Amino acid sequence: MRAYLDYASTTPLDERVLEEMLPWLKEEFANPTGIYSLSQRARQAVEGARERVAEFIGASPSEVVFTSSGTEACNLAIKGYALANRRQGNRIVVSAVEHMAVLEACRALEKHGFEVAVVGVDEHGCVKPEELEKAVTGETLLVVVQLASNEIGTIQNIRELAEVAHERGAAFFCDACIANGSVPVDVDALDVELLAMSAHKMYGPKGVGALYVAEGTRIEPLIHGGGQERGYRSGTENVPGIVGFGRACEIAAREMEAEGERIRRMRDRMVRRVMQEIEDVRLNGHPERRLPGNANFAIAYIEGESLVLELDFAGVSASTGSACTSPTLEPSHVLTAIGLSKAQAHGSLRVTLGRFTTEEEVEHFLEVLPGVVERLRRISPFKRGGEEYV
Amino acid sequence: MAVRAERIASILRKAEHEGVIESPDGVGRAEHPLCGDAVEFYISVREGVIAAARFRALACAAAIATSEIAASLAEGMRVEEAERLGVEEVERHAGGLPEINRCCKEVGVRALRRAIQDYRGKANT
Repeated sequence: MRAYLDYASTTPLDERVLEEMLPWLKEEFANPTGIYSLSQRARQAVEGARERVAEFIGASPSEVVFTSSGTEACNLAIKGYALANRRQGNRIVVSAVEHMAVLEACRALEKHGFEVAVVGVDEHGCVKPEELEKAVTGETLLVVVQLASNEIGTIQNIRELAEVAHERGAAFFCDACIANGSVPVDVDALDVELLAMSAHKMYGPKGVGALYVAEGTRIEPLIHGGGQERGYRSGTENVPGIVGFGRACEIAAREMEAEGERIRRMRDRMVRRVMQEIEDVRLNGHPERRLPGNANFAIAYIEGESLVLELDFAGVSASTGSACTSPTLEPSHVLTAIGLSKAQAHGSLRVTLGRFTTEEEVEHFLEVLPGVVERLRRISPFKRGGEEYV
Repeated sequence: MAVRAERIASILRKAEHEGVIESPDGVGRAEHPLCGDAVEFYISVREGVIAAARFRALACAAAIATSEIAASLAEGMRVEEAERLGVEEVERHAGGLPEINRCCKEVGVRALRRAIQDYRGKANT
């Protein structure tokens, strides 16, 4: 039995998405820039997908720029906005729990004279408006906060945070890559100028993302060339990928609500069982305001990388924020931002459910987890009530 | 990842040296300064030879696997020989582990050396 429980890492491609993509990988291969009919069909396919993506987030098609990934969309939002609007200020305010695509894009701007201020979060991973107020000065041109955390699943109150930014004349960029397809996203309701999306987090293909750029918002392109995507992102369009993204949005729009409820029920039952059956476990992230498929545990006295590998041997795919899985040997910045000690972060386990997760998969995970934890705790030099490990 | 997982899996499945020794002749612990991985080694020594070696670990799979190999190699070695046991030799006996977090692989070997130092300290008193 195999249980894939790492949907936050990537989702399987929905068969319906693949089916719609296939002609654009085969006979419909033309470059959408051409003026002959074969090309025009590709152009129509791209524009049709743009309409679907735009509709999914309550935007106009002209406000959607396709990119090669969510990471590229984040880079385009942050660097593109900063470079185009630097006369308005040089300060960027970003939350401490952002994805590395966001944090590293901000850090790269520091080399170009921008000042980056990082706002901390509470123990659940929520950005507090009053903390944001302190950080957003008159020099701030952009505020960046994710809609939800890919690690701990916490959903931010973006509208409230965007209001803080707007009151001080700053624009707001929201990274919605992990939230899109799991919870409703409406750019007007969120009141943001920029929003990033990724297809492979919502049962679409890898290699395609999109950036919402509100009408009237100026950004500088990062990739120059033939002027595709209205000059914001040159390079021949990934037609099959874009078509797949459009279809993925269309499916999510119809199925997300019922699917979310089913996943949430499975997740809640799984969390209850883990907390009941294993001692010294805490749930990271907000207890209620979290993505329906996300569970993130801190399991005391063990190390996450060996836990994930042992789970893999038992047929379960999950992930960890343990330092041992990071090239820098530092624990996850998200887990430390919510106040976890190095030891607590060491024993973190992220289990994420999605569209194709079955009760049997969850049951399999619940059957094998206690034995794996018990084995690792048996060989751990640290025990409950024993020497403190911090 | 598949290669690493399979090789480490085969070592971990055959692991026979996890645990503690009651009344050991030497105990040593090493921790990784960055990630916090910790390995604790226990040895018993008979006539200058390591009769038994056991370890406990809160560590990544590579550190557990190399600790298991270090323990199995150390058993039957003379103390001074076991003290010279290096990471390279441990890796060679593992059939070569992929190059991931090299320092994690050293934690077990360092813990073993400290257990030997502890034994020497006691033996000299």
